[in-house]
Amino acid sequence: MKKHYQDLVKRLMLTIFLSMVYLCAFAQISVTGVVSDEKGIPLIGATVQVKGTALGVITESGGKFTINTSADAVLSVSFIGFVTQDVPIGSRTNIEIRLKEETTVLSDVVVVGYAIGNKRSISGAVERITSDDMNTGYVASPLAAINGKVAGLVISQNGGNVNESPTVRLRGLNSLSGGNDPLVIIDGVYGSITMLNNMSQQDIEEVTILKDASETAQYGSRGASGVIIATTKKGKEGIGNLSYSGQFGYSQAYKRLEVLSGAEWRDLNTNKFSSSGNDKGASTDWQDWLGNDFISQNNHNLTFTQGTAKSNMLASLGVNSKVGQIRESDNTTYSIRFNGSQTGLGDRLKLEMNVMAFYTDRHDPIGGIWTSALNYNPTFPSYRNLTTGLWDFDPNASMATHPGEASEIEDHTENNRIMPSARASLTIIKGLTLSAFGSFDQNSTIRKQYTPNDHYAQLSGARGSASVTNTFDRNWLGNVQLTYIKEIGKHSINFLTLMEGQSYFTYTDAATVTGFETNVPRYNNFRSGSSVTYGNVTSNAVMYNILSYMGRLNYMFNNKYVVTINARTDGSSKLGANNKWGFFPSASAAWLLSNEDFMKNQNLVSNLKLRVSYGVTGNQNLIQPYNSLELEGPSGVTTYGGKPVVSYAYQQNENPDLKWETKYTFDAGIDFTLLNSRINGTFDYYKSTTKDLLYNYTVAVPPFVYNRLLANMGEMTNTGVELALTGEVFRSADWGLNIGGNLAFQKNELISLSGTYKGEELTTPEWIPLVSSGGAGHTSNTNVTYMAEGYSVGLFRLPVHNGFITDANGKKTYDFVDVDGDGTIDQGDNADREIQGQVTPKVTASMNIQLRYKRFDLSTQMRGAFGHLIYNYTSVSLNNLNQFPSYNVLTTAPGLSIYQVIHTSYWLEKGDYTNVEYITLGYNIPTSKLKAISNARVALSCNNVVTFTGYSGLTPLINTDPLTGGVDARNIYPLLRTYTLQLSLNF
Amino acid sequence: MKKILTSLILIATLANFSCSDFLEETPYSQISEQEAYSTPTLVYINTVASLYNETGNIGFFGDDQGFAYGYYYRNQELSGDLGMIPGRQGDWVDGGIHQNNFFHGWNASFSDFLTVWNDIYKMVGLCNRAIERLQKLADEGGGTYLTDYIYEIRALRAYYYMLAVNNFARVPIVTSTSTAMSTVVQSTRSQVYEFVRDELTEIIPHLAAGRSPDPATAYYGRITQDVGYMMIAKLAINSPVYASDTWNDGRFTGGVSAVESYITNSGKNIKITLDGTERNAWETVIYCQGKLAASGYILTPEFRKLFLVGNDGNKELIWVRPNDKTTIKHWQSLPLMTTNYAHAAVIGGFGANGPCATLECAYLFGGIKTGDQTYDFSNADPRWDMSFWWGPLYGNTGARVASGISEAYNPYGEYLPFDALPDYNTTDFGDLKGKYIVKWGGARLRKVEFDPGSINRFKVDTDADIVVYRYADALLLAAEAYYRNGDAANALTLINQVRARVGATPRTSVDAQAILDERGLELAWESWRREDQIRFGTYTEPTRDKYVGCPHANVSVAWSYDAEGHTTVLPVPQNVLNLNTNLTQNPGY
Repeated sequence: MKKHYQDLVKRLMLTIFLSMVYLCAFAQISVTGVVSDEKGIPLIGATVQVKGTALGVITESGGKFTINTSADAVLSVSFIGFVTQDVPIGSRTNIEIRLKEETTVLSDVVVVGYAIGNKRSISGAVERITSDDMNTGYVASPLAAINGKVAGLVISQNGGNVNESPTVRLRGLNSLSGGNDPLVIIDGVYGSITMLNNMSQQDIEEVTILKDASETAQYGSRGASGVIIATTKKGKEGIGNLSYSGQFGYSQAYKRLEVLSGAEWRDLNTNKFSSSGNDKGASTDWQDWLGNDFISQNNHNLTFTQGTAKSNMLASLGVNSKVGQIRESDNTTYSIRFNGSQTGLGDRLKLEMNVMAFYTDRHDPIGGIWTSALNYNPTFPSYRNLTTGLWDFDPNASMATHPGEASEIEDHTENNRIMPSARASLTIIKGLTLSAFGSFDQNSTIRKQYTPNDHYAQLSGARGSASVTNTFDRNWLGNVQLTYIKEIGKHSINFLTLMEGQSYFTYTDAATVTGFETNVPRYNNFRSGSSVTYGNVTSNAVMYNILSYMGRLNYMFNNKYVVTINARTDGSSKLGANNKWGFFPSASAAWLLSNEDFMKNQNLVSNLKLRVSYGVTGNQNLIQPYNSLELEGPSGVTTYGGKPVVSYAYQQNENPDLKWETKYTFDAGIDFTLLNSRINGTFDYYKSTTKDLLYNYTVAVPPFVYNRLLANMGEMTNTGVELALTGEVFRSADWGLNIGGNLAFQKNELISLSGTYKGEELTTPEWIPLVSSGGAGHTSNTNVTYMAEGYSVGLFRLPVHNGFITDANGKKTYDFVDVDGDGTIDQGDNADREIQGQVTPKVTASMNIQLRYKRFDLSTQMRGAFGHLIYNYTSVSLNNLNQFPSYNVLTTAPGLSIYQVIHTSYWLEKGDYTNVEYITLGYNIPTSKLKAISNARVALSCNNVVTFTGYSGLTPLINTDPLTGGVDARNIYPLLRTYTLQLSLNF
Repeated sequence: MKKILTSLILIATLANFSCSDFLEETPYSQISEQEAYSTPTLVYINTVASLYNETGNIGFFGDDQGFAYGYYYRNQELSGDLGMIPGRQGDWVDGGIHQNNFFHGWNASFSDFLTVWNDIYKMVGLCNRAIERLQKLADEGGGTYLTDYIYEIRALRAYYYMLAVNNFARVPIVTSTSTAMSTVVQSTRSQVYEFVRDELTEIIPHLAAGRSPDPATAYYGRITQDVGYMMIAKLAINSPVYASDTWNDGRFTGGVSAVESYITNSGKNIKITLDGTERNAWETVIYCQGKLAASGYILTPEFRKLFLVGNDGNKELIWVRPNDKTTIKHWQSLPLMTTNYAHAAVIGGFGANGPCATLECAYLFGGIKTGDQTYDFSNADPRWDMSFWWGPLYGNTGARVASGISEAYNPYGEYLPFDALPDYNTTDFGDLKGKYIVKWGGARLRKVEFDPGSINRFKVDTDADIVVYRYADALLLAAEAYYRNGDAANALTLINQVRARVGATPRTSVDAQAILDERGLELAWESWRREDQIRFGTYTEPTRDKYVGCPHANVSVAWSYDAEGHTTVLPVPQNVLNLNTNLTQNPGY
């Protein structure tokens, strides 16, 4: 594999080098000119290009430009929102060009799933973000580039851990089985959120979001949680174009939790705790000690394109390097991408090829390290004991990991991924295209971990532990597609039919060896560990296949009425023998009101489209294969005939009736453009119902052997409203101001989680716990969030605070309301708890502002979430003096004098926030005098400028996924404020 | 148009490649049932041996590979009078579950009981599956060994039903995998008892002779005829309890003397036909002990070696769960759970500072109070030292433990509050008693110890086999049976046999209290205390550690006297009732 990479890199470098040689321009005459709009207002930033070449300039202040070219050349002048104009130079040396405003920008080509449509003929809820619209701050990934841009798309990062992928939810929670990540398609290949998080943002040309079933039904089997389609940049016509873009960022945590310093700890220990704590005399700020001094973030991308009318290619190299907040943690991704296309047979045949490859190298801190940084005894030194050579350890603090030891535990992951794909399209007759597409995705990960043999728990136990986990994913996709696009008079038809097959295979192996006398070889020589235990060397292979047939018809009459019908049928090997196939149809209609005659005589509305859609999508994504089969797996070692043998046992209740989880979605929307295209907006209402919810139901034992059964039973609905508006507030030669914003309301309800299975009624407990949180000394039921029929998923349901009980010594414990009135306080799931609120924000909103003055531009984005709560377990556990002096506490703890850690609504706080995501100041450097550079821009930006919130913890920007989020449990890293210098150059 | 048609035909042709095989699943890492039983060796491994591998969470001391030690064990031993988990400065409060367990303050939502219920019926379900698979192979003309396996698995299933009747009393009897949920209904306690009795009496003659604890035999860890006799001895000794469909009328409460005559007379009237002869319950116990003696089981000289590494093949052991570190059969978590952090670190282990012996336990073993904080254990039963860590503590190198807080397990318990905070004010950190005792109060279990060769971080893996049945228990059961059947002289002889092995002074007389005490001394913390106390009528009674007004965790209930005795039977877990509405709750809950 490695050799392949080296080869690929070599060839790529050679291509780039050779192409550079061609990069020379020859000048004959110098032409100057001014570009303005129809009213004569100069346009800054318009592109003036010599047609058929890569030679071009950008207009400066006053709309002026200078270009060197030959007299017989033709200038092509373009600007966003204006019709591109070709101007022959002739004998002129000074040219004035007036661009005509584009009356409609709706003819843009949009990738809608498998289909290529245009904005006009779309009848579903589809949003498109082009590279120009993306975020401008420190942007480390395509996900960061679109965050806040789409109403209803929530990308939540859990605090400031750079190694953690964000959670992405489109229109909320749709499934309980975990298949809630939107489907990610990158150039036709099924990708993943992780991949979108690792790619270079500069590689992305545009991102299309499919929200409603009208179009997600194209991906029937996987479309239930929405679809994100990313299209990468492709080679352009022209001799050659090399561009560089880079970001250099420096980050710092802008809020820290204040725990007792060594001196404060000592003071409390002496005065209130009879010096019963283990005082080692030092004063260590573990948060500071564990933090990296210089948290840098670097991101560079080099792209080369060249092309002719018949063929083009693009090659890009990227590196994205992030240093983590915790010592020794970092994450570097190198990516290379190549794509090329060639037409033949008199343009009837088009061949395209695309290869993406990634190498990621990361070091992760061990889980719980941040908790240890907060609660480990600050009088312990931050270095090994000079006499023993070991870390001083407090055996009473058995629930914490020593931060010093934790920092020495190695967790190193390397990932190689290569994704080649190719497409051949043949135009049979005009409008009728047959294409075949194939892709292969090989993803191999190796994770290596080592715990040194001289750590406290290792000395008498494992004496060093090394482990390696290898994962190989191999996915094949192939499809054949027939497209027919035809306009006959007032009828416009876009028809597509497709057959697709996919095969997923995953192989994992893992080994753990313990008993090391030396820490030198670590995982590099497993023979240096003395002990291997049965079950510590494992492997596993899993495969599943999906087969699909799809048809889509998009029909438009008279540019006014649009109908789209999709029908897809999918078969999945994961499901029961009789239920493998699911049918996922959808239909949508749109009315382009603005094209009606009665709308002709007005200037207010230039575009008005009403849309309505209904459709069905399916989900089986995250369920494991083989759940429908009765299987036996290894269950342990026994002796037979004097030899050790492995026995097999039935390990799960099988469900031969397993079938597709299906989601029915209704969506109605309006798209409008007002005031001469200065205001654009979209409004959507949707309601979806997910039926046959796949869930691991609790079942009765007996008759079942195990108390869990994966089955389809429950039902859930999601309702929401989304509004997006962008407006051009002001525009002149020197000034421009654009403001955009979006707003989404979302409501989820779990209708039912019961039903019949093989004629037997299956029900679930009334309150099903989701997230629990506990730790040293926690004195009760650890459940925090729940789900229940009739409510939204992800509810806070905690014992209700009723003041404090103060004893004779002034020590406080929490008092609770006796909710069920039975005379006792019981923290049980069904007892003295009340619903307090939800994990997921009810409203998410985002606003961005772009201000332009001559060559300067200033942009900012704010994003907010409202109507949800956060459980501050950090405060609950770190304000508990009961665990002092074995564990450290917050500086607020002595004053509060609470001697208990127990779940209480007291620390449930409002999660509302508004975060100023970034402020970017950019400057387009004049390049008319520079021969080698055609375009240059520098920008300075600050990310996470400030968070407006009433939340008292580190940051309200935590995971808000209803199934897994809502609790700030001492493990959330501080949010990082990042200062970035960005540079982009076009040669 | 022709081209369109051609294309459509092409697509249709491609579509036909979609042979149905593409959606067939091919498991790589697991095997189908057919494969699992395809050879005689596989049949044995995947039915009999596989079932023993699944017997994790239940029985004496051991537990499955989870962090918390056995849920079953926790209720059998720590709801009795000899052990408990106090709240240690807020640690080990866990919502009051441990304190409620000790105080019998549980209810149907108590999560431990659900785990125990599910584990019992998981084993029953797996046994039923195996029996059906074997029966099918036998019907198809397989060898006679298949029938032998079926008997053995039925015995294992009977063992789990014995646990079920012991704990939950009224339970469903399910003997087939195709049982519909609508037919899963409870039998009465006596019906379940009779089912177990009939199964065992039918099966025992068919079980193989052989010494189960001997690694050299093919029967290592399996149910042999000897194990069968011990099983039925346990069933018979408890049969007056199990055969009674009423238990909440006070018949099992009020102390030793209040209950003795009911149990004794009831046992005389209960008839069990074993090996062709009908005997009463007490005669059956004596008959079984005689069978075991005839098979060569003895009291081995060194009491402590019964539980430590090297107990393989010990001639006192009747049934063990084979254990070793490299194949990790079952974790032994008790040393981890019981020892204090600092002490465990010095004796080569990892401590969680949990369960300790009670004050009642210290008194039982012969501690004499000599002052405010001082007790004299010099004349205590020799098994005190053999079973518990107490007093000043030393590490394996002989160095004394220095924790920074204290260096002695206060074994006396007088100052050991049931919960340190917040209800008990003398535990203020200014108060030396409180400060020391809370973290170091209560003697800790020493019967099982850390395996010095353990490679697990928490030192829960061990080469010591986990003991289920041992001959000293059989002797004490026989002593009790002699006594209850009117032969006190023989009872005294057997008790003194057990005492002589550890060098304890012989008893001169015997009564019911003496038998219960002897069982406590010999079998402390071996998971028999709950059923013994129920049989002797002391399970619900107050002790030195639980009484009205005893300080307790603020999240647990206060101790209250269960005079009618409903807590001698556990509630049917609420989740089980919710999921199967045919089932009803036991009285008193």
